[in-house]
Amino acid sequence: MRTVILVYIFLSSLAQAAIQTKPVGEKEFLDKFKQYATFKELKVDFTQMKHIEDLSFPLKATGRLEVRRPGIVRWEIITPSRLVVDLTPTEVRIESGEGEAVQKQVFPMSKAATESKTWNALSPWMDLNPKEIYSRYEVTSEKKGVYRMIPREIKSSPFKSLQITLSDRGHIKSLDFEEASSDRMVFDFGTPKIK
Amino acid sequence: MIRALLIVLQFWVFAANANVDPSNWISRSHDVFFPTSMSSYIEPYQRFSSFWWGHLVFESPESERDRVLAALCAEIGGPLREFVNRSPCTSGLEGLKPLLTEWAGDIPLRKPAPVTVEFANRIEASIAKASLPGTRDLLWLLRGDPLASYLDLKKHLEEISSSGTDESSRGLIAPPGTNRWAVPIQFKFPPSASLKTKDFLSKFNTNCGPSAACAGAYLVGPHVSVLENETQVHADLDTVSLAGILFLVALSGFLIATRRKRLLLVIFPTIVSTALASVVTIIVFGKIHGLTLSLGSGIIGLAVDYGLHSAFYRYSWRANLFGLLTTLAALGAVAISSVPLLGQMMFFSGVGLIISFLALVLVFKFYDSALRVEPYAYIPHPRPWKLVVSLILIVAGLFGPLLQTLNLDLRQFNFQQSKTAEYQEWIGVQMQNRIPLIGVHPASATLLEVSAKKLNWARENGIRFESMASYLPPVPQQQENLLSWKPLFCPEAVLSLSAQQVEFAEPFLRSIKCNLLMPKDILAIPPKYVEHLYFESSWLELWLPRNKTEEGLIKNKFPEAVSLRELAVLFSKTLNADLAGIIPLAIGGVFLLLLYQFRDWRIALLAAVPCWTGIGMLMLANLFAGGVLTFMTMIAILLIVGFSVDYGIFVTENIFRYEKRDERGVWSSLGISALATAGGFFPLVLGKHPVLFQLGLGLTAGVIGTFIGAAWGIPGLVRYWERKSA
Repeated sequence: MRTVILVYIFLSSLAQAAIQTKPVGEKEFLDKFKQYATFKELKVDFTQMKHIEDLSFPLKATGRLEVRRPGIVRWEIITPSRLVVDLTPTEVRIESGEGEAVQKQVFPMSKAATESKTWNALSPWMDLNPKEIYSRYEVTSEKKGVYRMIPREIKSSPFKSLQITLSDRGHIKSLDFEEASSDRMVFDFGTPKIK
Repeated sequence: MIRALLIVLQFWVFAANANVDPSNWISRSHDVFFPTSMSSYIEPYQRFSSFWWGHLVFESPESERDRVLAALCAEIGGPLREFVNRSPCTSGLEGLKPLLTEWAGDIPLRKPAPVTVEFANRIEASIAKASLPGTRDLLWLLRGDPLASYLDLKKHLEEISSSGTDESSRGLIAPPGTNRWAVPIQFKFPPSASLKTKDFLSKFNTNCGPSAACAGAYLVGPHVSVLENETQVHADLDTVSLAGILFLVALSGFLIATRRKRLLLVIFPTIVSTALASVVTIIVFGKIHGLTLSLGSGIIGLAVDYGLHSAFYRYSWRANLFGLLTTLAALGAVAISSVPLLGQMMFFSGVGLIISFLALVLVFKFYDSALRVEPYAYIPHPRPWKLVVSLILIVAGLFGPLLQTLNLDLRQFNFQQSKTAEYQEWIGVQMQNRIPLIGVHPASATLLEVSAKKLNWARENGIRFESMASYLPPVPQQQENLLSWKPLFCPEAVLSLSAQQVEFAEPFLRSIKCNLLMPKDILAIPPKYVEHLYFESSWLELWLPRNKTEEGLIKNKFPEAVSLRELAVLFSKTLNADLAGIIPLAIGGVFLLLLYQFRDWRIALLAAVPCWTGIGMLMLANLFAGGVLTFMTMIAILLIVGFSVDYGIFVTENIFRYEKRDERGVWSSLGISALATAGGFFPLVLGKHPVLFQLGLGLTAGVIGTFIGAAWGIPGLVRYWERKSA
C-alpha cells in the first residue's frame, strides 16, 4: 500500500512539473514584454549580487541602467566603486575608478573575441530587446510572471540558464543568471522610467 | 650490361626521389641562398618569436566576418591550439596566465607603490569589475592583478601592434570597401619548421576548410614562404629527375636506332660517377640540397661528352683534358660565390666531371677499340648565312649583358605561388609597407640601461619601440621603486585593507613577499613577458617606424638598426661583389688556359667564339623570359664560358693541329655531345623554382648557341680568314 501511495505521489509530482514548465511561444513572450518593445529611453536603478564559489562573500553592487535606442546602453555601478560599462553595437567600453586612478578598457563587440563574448550575449538583455532575446533562448514558464530561459546555442553561451521575473505591472523585477562557470548573478531592478 | 644500367638508373631514381627518409641527407632549406655574411641578419627572423607571424586571408563580405571569425576561432581554440600562439581569437587569457602572473608580481620593480588609500581603491575597482558578468579567467586576472597592471601591458602591446586600419582594434586587417580581410596569426614555431606548417595547413584544411565559413582561406607569411619553397624544390626534383631519365632513355634509344648502341657503355660510367659525386657532396657538406641534386642530369649530359668525343674522334683526349680544365676554372670561379648553394652546386658539378673524366679515361684505356663507333655523316659546311647567324649571336653575346637590366633582387631565390605573391603584396600595402628595423645584441651588464635610453629617445620622438626596457626599467630605477614597496610588505604586509579586499586580492598579496622585493636580473632569468625578445643570449630590439621620416630619424641615431629592406639591398650588394670577383676570374682563367693550349692569341680568340655565341643565344632566350639578368642568369653565363670553349678547342685543334684529318669524327662527337648536354640541362627548365628555371633556360640556350658558334661560326671565320689571306 505504501508503495502504491509513493508511486502516486511521484506520478502526480511529475504531472505537476509538466504543468509548471510549459513552453512559451514567441507571440506570448513578446506580448508579456510589450512595454519594452517600443521605448526610446529607459532608466532603472538596480542592485546586483554576484555569488562566486571561490569567495566567501557575495559581490554586491548598486547602480543604474540607461538604455537609449537605437543601441546605446550604459551600465553604471555606483557602489562600492564607480564603474561604467558603455555598450554600442560595435564596442564595449569599461571605465573604472576616479580621478588619476581612472582605468579605461575598450574592446570590439564581437562574437569571436573572448573578452567581449559575455557582453555580446548580454547585449539583448541590456538593450531589453524582447524579439532578440526570444531568438536566442528557449523560453519556458514555471509560474505566472516567472520565465526560465535556456540559450539555444548553449555550447557557445557564457550562460547556462537565466530566470526572469516580471512584476505585476509587467516590468522586469529580477534577472537571475547562472554563468557557465556556475557563478550566479542576481539583479533586482527598481521601477523603470520609460520614455 | 642492360641490367647494370637499370640498377644504376634505379639508384638515381632512388637518390632523386628519396623514398627512404630523404630528410637525412637531402636538404630543401632555403637558408642556402643566403650568404654566410648575412646570416646574423637573417637569423633573428628565424629565432625570435616576434617574427613568427603570418596572415590568414579571407574573401568574404563584411557581414560574414563575425561568422567566419567565430568558426576560425573555434578551430584555433581546438584542433589548432598546438600550432597557434596568438591571434585575435586568443585575445583572452588563454595561455597567458604564467606570463600575467609574473607581470603582476613584478609591479614593484616597474612602479612605485600606491599610497594605502589608493591601494584599497584599486582593489575595490577590481572587485567592482569582478561583480560584472565575466569568465572565471577574468576573475583570476582581477584577483591576481588587482592593481590592474595588465592594462599597461595591454596598452603597450596595442601600441606596437596597431596596424592603423579600422579593424585594427580587433587585430584584423580589413580595409573598408573590400571583401578581402586578414587575420594575423602568431605560430608557436619558427618558419623553418616547415613540417609543422604543413601539419597546421593539413589540419586547418581538414577541419575548417570544408566548412563554408573558412572556404577560400589562404595563409601567407614567412612560414608559408619556406614551405612553398621546400615543396617546390621537392616537386622540381621529381620533375627534373623524371625528365632526366626520360632524356637518357631517349638518347639511348637514338643511339640504338642509329646502330651505335656501344655508346651506352659511355653513359653508364657517367651516371655512376654523378651518383658518386652526390655521395661525396653529402660527405663534405653533410647534406645535398635538392636544387644541387637537380643539376644531376645536366652533369651527366656534360660529362658524357668526354666519352662521346673519344668514341667518335680519335684525337680527343688532349682536347678533353683542356675542356675539363676550362670547365673546372669556371666552376671554381663560381664556387667562390658567397651564396652557399652555388658553392655546393659547383662542388657537385666539379666532382661529377672529374670522376666521370677519370672513369672514362680508364674505360677507354682498357676498352678503346670496343667503344669506338663509326662517326655520322654530318659535316657542317660553311655558308655565309651561317656565319651571319653566328656573328649576330656574337654581337648579342658581347652587348646583350650590357643592354639587359641586371636585377640582383632577393626575390629571385624565392618561389611564390601567384596567389601568395598577390596576397603578400596586399598585406604589405595594408601595413603601409612599414618594415620594422631590428637590432640584435648579446647580453651584457649595461644592455638594459642602454636599451632604456633608447626607449626614452623613442618616447621623446613619438616612435614605437620594443625592447626589454619596454617591460622593465634599469636596476637603479627598480631599486627606487622597490623602496616605496618595502614599508608596505616588510617584514609583514601592513596594508589598511578590509577583510573582503584582502580575501579578494589574496593571490596578488601572496605573490609580493618581503624577501623577494629585490631588483631582477633580466639577463640571467628572463621573465616570460619578454620571452619574445630573447634567444639564447641574444636580445632583440624592434623599431616600428610609421613613416620614412621616423625611419630616417632612427637610422640617423642608431645606424646599426637594420630592416628587411636593407637586408635586400645588402643581398644585392653581396651578389654584385660576388659577380665582380667571379666574372674576371672565370673569363680570365678560361682565356689563360686557351692561350696556354694554343700559344697564339688569335686561335685562342677563335676557340672562344662558341662562348660568345652561347652567351648571345642565352641573351636572346632571356629576352623572351622578361629581359632581366638575374644572378642565376649570370651564373649560367659563367658556366657557359666554362664548357663552351671545349667545343672551340675541339674545332680549332681539328683545323690547326690535326689539319681536318677527322672531320666526321669531330662533328659527330660535338653534335651528339651538344645534344646530350642540352638534353641534360633542359629538364631544369621544367622546374618552377626560379633558381632552376633561370639556370636551365640559360644553360640550354647556351649549349645551342655554343654548338652554332662551333659548327657555323669557327669554320665560317676560318674560311673568311683563309680567303682574305689568299
